[in-house]
Amino acid sequence: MGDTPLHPLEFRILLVLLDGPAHGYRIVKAIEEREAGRTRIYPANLYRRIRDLLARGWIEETAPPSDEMDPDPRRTYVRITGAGRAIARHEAGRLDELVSDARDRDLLEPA
Amino acid sequence: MIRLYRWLLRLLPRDLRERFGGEMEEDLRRRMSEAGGRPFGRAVEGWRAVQDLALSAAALRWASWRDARPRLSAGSGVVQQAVRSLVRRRGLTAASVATLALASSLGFVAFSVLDGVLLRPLPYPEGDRLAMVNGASSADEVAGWSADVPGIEAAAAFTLDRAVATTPAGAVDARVLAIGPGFPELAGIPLEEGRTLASEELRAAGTPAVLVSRSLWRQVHGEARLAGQTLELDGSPWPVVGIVPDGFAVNRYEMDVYRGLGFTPDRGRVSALARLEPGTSIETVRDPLARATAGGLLSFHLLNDTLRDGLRGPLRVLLLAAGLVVVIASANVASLAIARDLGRRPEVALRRALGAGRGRIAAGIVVEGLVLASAGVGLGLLLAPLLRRAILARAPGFLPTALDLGLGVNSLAAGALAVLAVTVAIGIVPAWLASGRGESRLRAGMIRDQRRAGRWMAGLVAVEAAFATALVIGSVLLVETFLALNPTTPGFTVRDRLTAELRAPTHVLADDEAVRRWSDELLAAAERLDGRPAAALVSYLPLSGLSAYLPARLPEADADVRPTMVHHRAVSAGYRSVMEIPLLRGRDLAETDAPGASGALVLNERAARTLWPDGEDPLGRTVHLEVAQAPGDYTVVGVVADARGLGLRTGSQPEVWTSIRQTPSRHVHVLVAPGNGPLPTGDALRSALVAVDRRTPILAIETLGSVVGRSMVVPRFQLTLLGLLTLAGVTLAALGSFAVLGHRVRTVRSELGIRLALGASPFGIAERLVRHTLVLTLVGAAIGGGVTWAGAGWVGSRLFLVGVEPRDPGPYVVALVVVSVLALVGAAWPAWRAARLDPRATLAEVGGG
Repeated sequence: MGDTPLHPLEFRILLVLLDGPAHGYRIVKAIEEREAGRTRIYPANLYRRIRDLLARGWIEETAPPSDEMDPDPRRTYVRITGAGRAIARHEAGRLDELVSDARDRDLLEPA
Repeated sequence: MIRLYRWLLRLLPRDLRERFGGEMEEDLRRRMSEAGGRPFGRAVEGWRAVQDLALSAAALRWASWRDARPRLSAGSGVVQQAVRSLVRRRGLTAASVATLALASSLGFVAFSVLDGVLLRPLPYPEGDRLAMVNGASSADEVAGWSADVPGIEAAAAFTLDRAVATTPAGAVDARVLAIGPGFPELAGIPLEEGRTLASEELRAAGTPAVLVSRSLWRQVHGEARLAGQTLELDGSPWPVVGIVPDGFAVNRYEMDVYRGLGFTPDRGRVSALARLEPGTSIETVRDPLARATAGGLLSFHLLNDTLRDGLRGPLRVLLLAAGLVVVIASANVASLAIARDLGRRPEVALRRALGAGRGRIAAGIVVEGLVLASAGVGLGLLLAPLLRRAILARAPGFLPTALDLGLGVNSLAAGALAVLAVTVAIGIVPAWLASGRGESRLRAGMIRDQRRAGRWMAGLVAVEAAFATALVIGSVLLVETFLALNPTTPGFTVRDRLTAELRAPTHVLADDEAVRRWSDELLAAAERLDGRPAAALVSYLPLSGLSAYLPARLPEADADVRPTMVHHRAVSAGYRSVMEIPLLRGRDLAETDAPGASGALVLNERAARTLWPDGEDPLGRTVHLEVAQAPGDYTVVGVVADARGLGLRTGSQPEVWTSIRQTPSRHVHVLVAPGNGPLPTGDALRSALVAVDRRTPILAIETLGSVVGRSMVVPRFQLTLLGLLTLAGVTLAALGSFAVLGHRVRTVRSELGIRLALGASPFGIAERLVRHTLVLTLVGAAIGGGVTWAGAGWVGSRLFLVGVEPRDPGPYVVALVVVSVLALVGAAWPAWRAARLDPRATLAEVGGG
């Protein structure tokens, strides 16, 4: 897979989808909540990333989750694939190495 | 805001837009709804969403282009593939390159002429601010303009003169530009050797010195370098201080000698070259300048206008014609490209099936077109100088030598870009067609794309026919003009007439009686030639471009009535009979019309109608003429038929003749017609005339036909150029028909085979195919003719047309016939091949396909 970093937004999308299938707007809200409002993600940017992830096979379209209260038929629900999990794991490991390196240099507080 | 966002979604790639566009719009609605509680929340959310959309669209388009563009790295890439593909199809490639070479070379020459005539700055320092002034009274008056006339930065006087230069071969007439202080700097007189004239050499009673042209220098001193030599002018030696290169001209005056104005007799008027101050218009200077000229301003024009006026119109039309040829050529190349590209459909389909994008494939085909166009343009660059030399050699005097008409970088770059741009623009559609879909529906896709390509090629044929029709119409109009100006019918006899143009030698100039004796001796010498030819003298030959233009007034007319301007010729008694101009009333001038007798006048019908518009008989009436040598009253003794005088274009003008014995002329043409024997040779005439006075400069000896023919330079040049362009255009259009019908035969080959197998006649097959081409051509010709008809006023006002109306139906009919015939010629071979198809072989192909 190489060491090419994943786009931050794509990584975040994959992280959100680890919790289960979601549609675009829910992904956006989940990311923004985790970022505590520091990040604003707008539709064009989001959906071009979703399209790219779909094309690479790291996510796939799926039916609305069974526990969805009010599934919106107009929405495209997506879920992470096995390849997507592997990619996300790889990216997380890469970032962990970077963070460890930063800690070793006293750039960050010890974990 | 939602509506705007929805519209801007079009910026995104289609697949993204179609798949997620609805959700994007819905997301924006929710965001804006959630932000409604904040001040300007909805507007801010909407604006940020729009920004996000624009940036994302730009990033996606950039990524798409970056993936599709050809890589031009050495050792691989689309350029090499394009070259290999072109080499595989040598025949089509050669035809395309030749077509583009022809078109681009025509384009280069047209651009260079247009650039030189209309765009390039004049070859003088600050040429755009230089103006010609006529009407100043003296060099001192001109020298004061820079101080006294607001808007004039500098000015220098000059006047035209002539002198007789002595060369080893004999006396030659030298054109002299007498110049005042400041002129060499204003005009930027270039020098090949030596130095320019100093101020003290330009003033009256100053140091004598001259500049001479390279050609006059060669006549006198050969290839010797300048080293203190002199030039004998009018019997006196003049030190030569500099040599001016041939081709340099001030305004249209290409001179042999430049010397100080102080050495020229004062004629009461001088011309001037003036430089306006930056940002000053000629109109703001006109009135102050008129007040500063004692004798009254005669004319005041920018040098730009003087040189370029009259050329703009015809050259714009010629440039349009060259542009039409370029488009026809590019359309032909596009047709050839379509024919070629459809032949590689299987290869394209396979590449598409393997995942190559349509844009990438189309880009590769466009690169092929660019390589082709570049080769054509390169060959055109080699042809352009040859073509330019051939064309401009036929236009001496038509284009002022002051204008630089060389193939400059600007014109070459503009021509190359034009050809490349047109080729690419026209080639994009064939490239797109050739890269079409059809992986899994190969045959269906092929048939659909073949039909689409066929329609496109048919459209190109119609376009070519339209442009070719416009070119033919223009050419026919010019041919009609040429025939209307036929020099065999100018109102006098042109055949079998020899002329010699002479100027009186300097030592007789000041004495009327000496000039009279000189003229008599010239006439007698001509009449003594072998064969006893008929001879006559005339001050200025008709259609020679020279004339004396004088005011004529009826003594009984009121003093405040403006005089009638007439063309005056001083002629000998035999002039009318030598020229065979019909005498309508009264008598011809005779030997008895001599000094001491009352002034006799013969005028043409036009002059009679102008002076006596009520139709009164002019015989015996008196006309006051301001003839230079003998102003006074002249009695009308005869009326002759009208003949073209000043130029073939201008038709007949009011013209009067006086006896050359009563009004001696310092400039004469000797006219000789066959007598008892054949017409004397030019050498015999020259010898006879030189024998009268060796100091007489003979300016030219030529036939009258040659003199008259010079007045045809403009229409001949236009006709030659437009004729070349038309020939190129119609030939290319015929080739286009050939290519299109050839393609059609290939695409309907199986259908033709089936028809032939079922008993259709080969003639019928060929007839249908030819009819198809003819219909396209007629449609295009009708469009071309209609557009030309609509623009006929514009074309007619810019082309030199005489005796024809741009909307005469004749040229349009001729164009229709010519274009149709050439289309049929182009279609003949493919139609014949179609009629010769072997049905069994064709059906076998169908069965196996």
